[in-house]
Amino acid sequence: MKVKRISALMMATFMTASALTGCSGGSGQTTAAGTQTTAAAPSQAAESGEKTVIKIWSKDRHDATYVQAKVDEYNATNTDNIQIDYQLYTDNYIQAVDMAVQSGEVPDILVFQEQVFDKYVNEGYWADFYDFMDDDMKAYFKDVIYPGDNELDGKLYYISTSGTTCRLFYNKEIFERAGISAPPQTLEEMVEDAKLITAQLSGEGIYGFAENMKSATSGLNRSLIVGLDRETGLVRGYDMVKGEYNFSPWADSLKLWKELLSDECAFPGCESLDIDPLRTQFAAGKIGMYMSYVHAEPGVYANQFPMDSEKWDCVPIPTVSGKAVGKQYFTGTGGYLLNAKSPNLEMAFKVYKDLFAQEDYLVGYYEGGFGISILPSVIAKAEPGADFKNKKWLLISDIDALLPKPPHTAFTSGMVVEGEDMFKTCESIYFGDADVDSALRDLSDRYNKAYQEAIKNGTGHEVKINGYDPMNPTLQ
Amino acid sequence: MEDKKSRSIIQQKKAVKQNLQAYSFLLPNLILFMACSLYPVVWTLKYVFYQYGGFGTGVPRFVGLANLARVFRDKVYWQSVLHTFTYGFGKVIIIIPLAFFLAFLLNQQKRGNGVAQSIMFLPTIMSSAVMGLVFYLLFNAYNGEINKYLMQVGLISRPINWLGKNNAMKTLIITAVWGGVGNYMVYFIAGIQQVSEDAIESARIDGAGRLQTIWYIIIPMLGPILKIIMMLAITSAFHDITNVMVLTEGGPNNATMVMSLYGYRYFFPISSAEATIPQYGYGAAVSVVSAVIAGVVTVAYLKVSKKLDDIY
Repeated sequence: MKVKRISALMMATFMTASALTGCSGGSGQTTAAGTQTTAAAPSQAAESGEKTVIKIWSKDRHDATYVQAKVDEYNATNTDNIQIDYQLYTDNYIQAVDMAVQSGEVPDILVFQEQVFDKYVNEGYWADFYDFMDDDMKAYFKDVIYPGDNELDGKLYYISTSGTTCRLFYNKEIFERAGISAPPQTLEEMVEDAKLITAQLSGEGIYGFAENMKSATSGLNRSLIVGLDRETGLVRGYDMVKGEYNFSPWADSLKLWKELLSDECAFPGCESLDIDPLRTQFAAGKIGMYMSYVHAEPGVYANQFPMDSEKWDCVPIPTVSGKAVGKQYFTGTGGYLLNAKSPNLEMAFKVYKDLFAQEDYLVGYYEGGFGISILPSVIAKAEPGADFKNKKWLLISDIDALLPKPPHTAFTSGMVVEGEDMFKTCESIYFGDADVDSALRDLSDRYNKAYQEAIKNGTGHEVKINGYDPMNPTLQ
Repeated sequence: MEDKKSRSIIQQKKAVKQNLQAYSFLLPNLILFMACSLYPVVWTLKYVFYQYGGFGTGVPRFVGLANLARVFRDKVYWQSVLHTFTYGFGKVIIIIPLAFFLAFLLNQQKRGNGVAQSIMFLPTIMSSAVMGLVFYLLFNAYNGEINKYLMQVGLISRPINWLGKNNAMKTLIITAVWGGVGNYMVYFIAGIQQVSEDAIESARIDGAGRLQTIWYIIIPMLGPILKIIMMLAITSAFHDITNVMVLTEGGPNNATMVMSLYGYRYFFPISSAEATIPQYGYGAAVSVVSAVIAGVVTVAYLKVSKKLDDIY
């Protein structure tokens, strides 16, 4: 009887232990940095001759082949006993970083992403590059350090080596077939062109316009909202001079977008389209026009979904009547964040410097069509691909500028907007479920209320730039 | 008196010793239950009263009943509740008769029925995410197989937007029916096999035809299992979100937003580009209200379905 009881107890203990082990998730197969618990790993690794693993996370599919080749080369040749573990998260990047923050497993180096940066910068997750940069490096990158953007309170959090903005991409062959002589310059023309293409060629499965509307945020962030910055002089609906949100000037554009997304113009199924399926259809010659980022598309059509370069080009995003009272959103790309809590921080910076901050890498990146360099020395040396030479609107131009951050991005987690955000509200308008004027009025009220509450609660602060000129925007 | 007290202590000790084995076996489950079920529930209830963006976004801020009040003002949430009922109702009214029909058909001792049963059951063991992707390939408007076939045979001239605002919910219901019918069919087969052969034989002797036997003998005798099947179908409809996430992400324009997905997106923003950062407090409030709604429906169903327990 006693033996039976002891064995029962042992079994129960075993079951408990094994069940709990299953729950724990068993982390730490490698000596990778990122967790506070493995703080002693580097020295132990060095002593034992094991390689120190530096984890790098990326969200960018378009340059993955190029970066992976550089990483492989670095892994094969570096003499510092470093092994880079390069991982691609693409669609789930933000969620992956959130999970990593919660579980204390943030990688050593991460590709810069605006939301990820904004969300955790005030919590001290990102390292200050100035702690490690020597004078030569500071001098080399001085042209791409923007106080109020990548340099905050005297700390440099990332270095953008290339830039991107958004344009209207169009299929020249389809335009020719539909008898359209030039790409549209106004939103009204764009609607007419889309209607014409759909009317003439839909029998062959070719339609005038498409956008990746499965996620309104993703679709509008690369199209409508960018054009609206230029058309209204507001930054994402925020008036930098008055210090308040006002979405009413968006009404005219939204009315035309409603037409653009109707059966008369749009590619069937835009509502459930992601960007890559859209690109495959554009490459297959089924879509007349769409809007996206200039840094990604040349690489996509050269490598991912091959398309004859002669067949496509891009122009600025059309606005209502061609109105332009402001600059449009331009953002730095090619930046990397360093995990300030990494036990291998110094080594991570070394990897960053040896890999991503080398001129050879940056020249190759630009020449390969993975991003448009904004570094003067790289631009001077590089021989960019034919796309960048022949398609002038692929380059950053004088219609683009770095724009200051409106409150909802300046303190993302501190400003809680009740109800649907600006993207979902636009969705409800162009899919015909909401009245344009009242929906935009309500949107302004909700954003202003959330902004004021954030200031009152101390989770946000006043955002206002005296004498702000939308045609010559300043960051602070 | 002393004697009585010490005797009681000895008896208690003995009872504990005797039950030690039972407690030991219960312990692992108890620990897991507390860690994986009870703790999250208590955590959720706590955060109903806070505004919190998740780890790394500052300290949770106490907001009292503000989150709950917001749920009652939130039109999109109440639309999502309505969509949940549409989805659940649509799924149940198709899946139950279909599963019964298949069970009745495939329960007979005929060649090939075993294979057919396995094929029908296959979607049940398939990952919902994979199923969603497969259905996306079938139903997407631009190169989906369904549209291709319909256009080839000349039934349509322009692709039907199966995942558009007007059709997305129907497509989701079709996906759910395909994914679940095999499972319910198996339950029905188990139920049919328990129906007394004597009762069926007696009915036939009394002159009942095939349909009369089904209607007056088999279906009433399936009452208790039908109650469970209906219960499972209804409750699963309340937390079915994988299909919705993969196929439509609740869109277009929230046309397929169901209440569990609506709550989920405040904890884990659905799309990579979703600008909304997590709002744990509001997500918790939505989840609690949704749980209450699901509970009310379940209790109401149990009350209504009491009659199904009475076997002839």
